[in-house]
Amino acid sequence: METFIQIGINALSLGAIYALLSLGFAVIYNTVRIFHVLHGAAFLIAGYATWWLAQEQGLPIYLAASIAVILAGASGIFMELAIYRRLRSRGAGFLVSFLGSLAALFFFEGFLLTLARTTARLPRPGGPLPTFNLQIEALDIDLFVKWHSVNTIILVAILVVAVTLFFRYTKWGRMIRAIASNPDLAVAVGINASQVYLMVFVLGSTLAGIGGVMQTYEGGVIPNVGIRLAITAAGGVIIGGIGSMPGAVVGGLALGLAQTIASYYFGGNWAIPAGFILLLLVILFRPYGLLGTREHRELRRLL
Amino acid sequence: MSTDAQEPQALSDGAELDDDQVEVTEPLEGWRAVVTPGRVLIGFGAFLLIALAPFATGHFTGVHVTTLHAIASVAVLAIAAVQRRYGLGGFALFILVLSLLWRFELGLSDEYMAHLIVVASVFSILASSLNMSVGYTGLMSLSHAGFMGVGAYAFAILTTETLNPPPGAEVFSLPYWPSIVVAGLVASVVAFIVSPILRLRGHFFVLATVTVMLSLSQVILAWRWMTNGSLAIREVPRPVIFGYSFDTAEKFMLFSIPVAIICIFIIRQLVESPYGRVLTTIRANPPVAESIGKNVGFVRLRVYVITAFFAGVAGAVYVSYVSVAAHSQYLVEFSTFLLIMVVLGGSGRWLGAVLGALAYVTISEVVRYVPELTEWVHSYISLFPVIPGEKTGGITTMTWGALLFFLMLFRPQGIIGRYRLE
Repeated sequence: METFIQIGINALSLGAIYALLSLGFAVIYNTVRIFHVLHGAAFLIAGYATWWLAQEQGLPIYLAASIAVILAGASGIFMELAIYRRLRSRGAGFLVSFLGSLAALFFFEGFLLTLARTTARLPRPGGPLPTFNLQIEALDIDLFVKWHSVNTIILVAILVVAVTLFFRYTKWGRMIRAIASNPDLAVAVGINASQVYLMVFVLGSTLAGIGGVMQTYEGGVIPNVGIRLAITAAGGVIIGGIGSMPGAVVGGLALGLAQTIASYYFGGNWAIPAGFILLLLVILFRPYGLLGTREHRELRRLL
Repeated sequence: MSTDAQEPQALSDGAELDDDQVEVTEPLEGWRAVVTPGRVLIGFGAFLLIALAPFATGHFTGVHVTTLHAIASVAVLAIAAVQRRYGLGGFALFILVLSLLWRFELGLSDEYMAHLIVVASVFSILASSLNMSVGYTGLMSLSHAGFMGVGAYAFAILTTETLNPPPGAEVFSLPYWPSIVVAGLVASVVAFIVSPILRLRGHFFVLATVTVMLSLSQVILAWRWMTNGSLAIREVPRPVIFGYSFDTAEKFMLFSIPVAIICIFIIRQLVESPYGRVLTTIRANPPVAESIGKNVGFVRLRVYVITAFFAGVAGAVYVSYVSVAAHSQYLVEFSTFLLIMVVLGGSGRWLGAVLGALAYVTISEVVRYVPELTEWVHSYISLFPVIPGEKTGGITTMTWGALLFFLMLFRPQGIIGRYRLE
């Protein structure tokens, strides 16, 4: 029982980060229809900014983290203006946009490799994170839980609710949904698609940035992690169901759960293969995702 | 570029496009139709092979290679100019300048030149087979380095005796030559196992192949008793024919070039045949392929498995050359580099992938001198930052990222591509 609760907590805190990344990816993908591998760069920017501001410049960690998240959001503006808009104006289809995105991520990772070292950068004094003792007499449970995990889970839950409310009740949310469901009609009724795209990139990159800060605070950040996290985010979107925001969150959590179970029973190296096996099973038996519906399956056939 | 700007819409519809021949109004006649740049390059390859054989025992020097390089480049340049194939002409000019630079400015040793040729030949196999899947069939696969790794490890496990299997496990052992084929077959089997991902289309197929790639490299790392994990398999043997051992780079070249030529020839025969036209149809318009009675899913599966076979063979040759099977060589980054080779050379042209592989090796070599270059500039302008030598990996990654980006922006069909990527 103790083991299961421990795995559950670990899976939730890892899955929460993945859910955040997947949610950011889904926000961008559902609207712009770009396979946004550069999503990993927002994560890296936030991680390295936190480290640099907190460790090298000596800022308090909350201030450093806030600035890092704002920087990640601003990087979304840069991505849209300098990369995707340029590609779009040249009539780039999905392959060229994907390769352009991948190239930009490569450039950024190379830049970090040139600038920084390949060892992990930690934005806090080393050593283990503070924990608290979780004791439940009735179930015979005596565990030590990281405060950081609890914070991550609560923060992500709040963010998911906030994003859902944003999409449902605000003007910007309705505009984004309009562009996502029917771009031509949305433009015809006077919605400015360029502005909506900018907004979507800022929102998605901010979410990735928050994930980056939380992950970096726990385990540090290295340059090569960008593409893996971007792919994990996209995998969460597929597992959850393309076109569905709650699906992205569930997909991210499912990936976190699969990876935690695999790491616990077979060792850390099997985490990524476990994620792949989960993805493969979903593709085989429920190709429109865990929370996807027939409507989304139709959508996928178009892709 | 003027045609690019005028009709991007028409071109992006998967239409066949020969950018370099757009301006040629009539089909080529006479000797121009017979003496094509591609044939010159093939002839040059054969000539190189025959001419260099006597020198293989150590008498051949880099000057010969540079001279031959220069002659071939000038020939291709001239023919390309006459035929108005500017993309290829530019590439030949580029190779010419670089080969001269290599020899007289950078002073590379013969051993090192031979090493580059071996690497280029292995990369040509990989890029050609990836081109069959990406350029012809439209399977944008990023799992190719994974299949190369599977082939390399299969080969290393089969031929090397320094492994320590756990008690009770069987010790595999095979002679050298069958092992190469078996390595390819093992890679094919792995491709067959992961083939359910072929159901996906578009972005999500790319995503699934990246996941395959990440998983394969992790499995290699994690499956410790089989692959030695992060310790790598050492002392993988070099080939021996009738007592003649290909133990140096200059001798190994004589082994890797024929293997590359055989593999590329087989791939060429496949993609330039009616079968290749079926593949092109599947890329451009799957419903049409179905309506003429082709089983699209099965053809895609076969292409995936066949290309994995060649990747496995290339992995076997490569691991035999470097003699260490290390997990860190088969990462998703390398898959991306392979894709860059195909896109750079030109997707949908069998020669394009070979050109891409050569360009990759050449440009990567030049990039290695960037730290020295910054030092040189720094000695005149002291404000200029010096990049230390150990940062070469980051510089290389940056260069290729920037190059791929501008390629996507300005010339999505690569050097001699047949059609523009969508």
